[in-house]
Amino acid sequence: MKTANCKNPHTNPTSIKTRFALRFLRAINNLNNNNNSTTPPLNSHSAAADKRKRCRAIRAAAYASMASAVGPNKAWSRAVLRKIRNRMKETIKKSTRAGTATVRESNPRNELSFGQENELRELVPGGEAMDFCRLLNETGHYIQCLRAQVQVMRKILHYSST
Amino acid sequence: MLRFAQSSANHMDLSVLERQRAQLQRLYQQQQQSWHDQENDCFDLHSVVSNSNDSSRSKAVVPKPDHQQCNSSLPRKRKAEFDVEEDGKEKGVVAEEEKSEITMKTERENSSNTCSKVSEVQKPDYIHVRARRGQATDSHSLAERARREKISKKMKCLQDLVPGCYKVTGKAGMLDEIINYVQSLQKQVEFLSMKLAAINPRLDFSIDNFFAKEIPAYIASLPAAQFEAANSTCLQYSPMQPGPSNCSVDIAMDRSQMLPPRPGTSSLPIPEAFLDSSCISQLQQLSGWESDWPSSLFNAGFH
Repeated sequence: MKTANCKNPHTNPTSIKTRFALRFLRAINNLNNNNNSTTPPLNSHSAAADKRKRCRAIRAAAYASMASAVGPNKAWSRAVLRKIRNRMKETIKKSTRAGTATVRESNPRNELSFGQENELRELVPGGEAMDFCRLLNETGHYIQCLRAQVQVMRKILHYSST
Repeated sequence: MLRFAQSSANHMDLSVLERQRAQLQRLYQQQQQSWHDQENDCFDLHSVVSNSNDSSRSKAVVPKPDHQQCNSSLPRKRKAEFDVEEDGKEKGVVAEEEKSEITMKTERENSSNTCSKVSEVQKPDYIHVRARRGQATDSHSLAERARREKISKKMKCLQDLVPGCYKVTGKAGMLDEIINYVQSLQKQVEFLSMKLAAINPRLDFSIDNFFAKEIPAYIASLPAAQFEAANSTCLQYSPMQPGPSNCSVDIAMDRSQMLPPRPGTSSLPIPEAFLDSSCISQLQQLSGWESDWPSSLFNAGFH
């Protein structure tokens, strides 16, 4: 990979936005194709349920596309991809799978309150199995990617509604 | 240690501090002698220590040529212990002295018994930490301090990321801001996906239109020097055969906002202007991964 005069594609926000946009749009198209093949809803109740399901599917597609655009370099993207893979395996196998055991490293000398730190761990995917220092790193990158995700989704919405 | 107990029993009237000081001095002198005799022996205190590896132990033992004012074989931990004692602080460092991978550089005033400076060990795998005056120098607190500094450095970086965080000063407040910001971003994603779900059944999404509309915006954002190049070259694209693309290509001619193709000599494809002219090789890599992307981009109703 010629990176002599280019930024690293994994950290360059422009390239991440592009990769995310590409994957996300592709995923939405796949969803649309799958939905078009099924029969349209008959009553309003199922329509609402379908809409909710669709919303969840799009949200999952957004996170999955972002995680795959970022790649396996970051712990949080790895955690997201792992979760998706597990979920896919669950639906394929249709068997209950025990939750992945996450090792919570204890920091007895941490002077910050545990409540906040735990909250942050819950927010950032894969945050349970990290020490606080690494958690802050991952949080920074996660925030950048979330921002890029929101910007791209807004643009898509804007262009598709005009 | 039995001797120390006996001697301490003799000085029952002494204060605790003086007793400790006496003990340390005795220990120091004793060990100094033993160091002269046997260079590579571990002394009593070290036996308490859990040594991770032998090589690091011997490193501490090897005398440094820079020690001019003090006994060259004095290990830094010993010095730290002595200096702590010199401060007159009562810390429980007499017994516990753990082997750490942190070399300490302590600065103390000159005295007859102690040296003023210890030269730093030039070991690549050691963390060099400076212990400030009046602060504890045992390995635990030094490690803790290094960790705290790392955390505060990262918090500063996060402060730049999160908007509105500069007002807050404390770590707890900043963490609150960060948590709120992440939650708000996630809520925005959810809201946007809801809106996308609402509008999407109506129209079939076309990737090309999205990128097509993006290009004028990106071209405008490019710096002026690149603008000329982009303008003259970006519109000449090599016709690629329509490869199998799994995205539904919606050729909406009426909504296409692509600039009309102009004859040009350069063969820079459009995505290069789209991304950045400096990311050409990146694009090549990208088109290597996603083989259908260039084809889908060029397919958008440019016939």
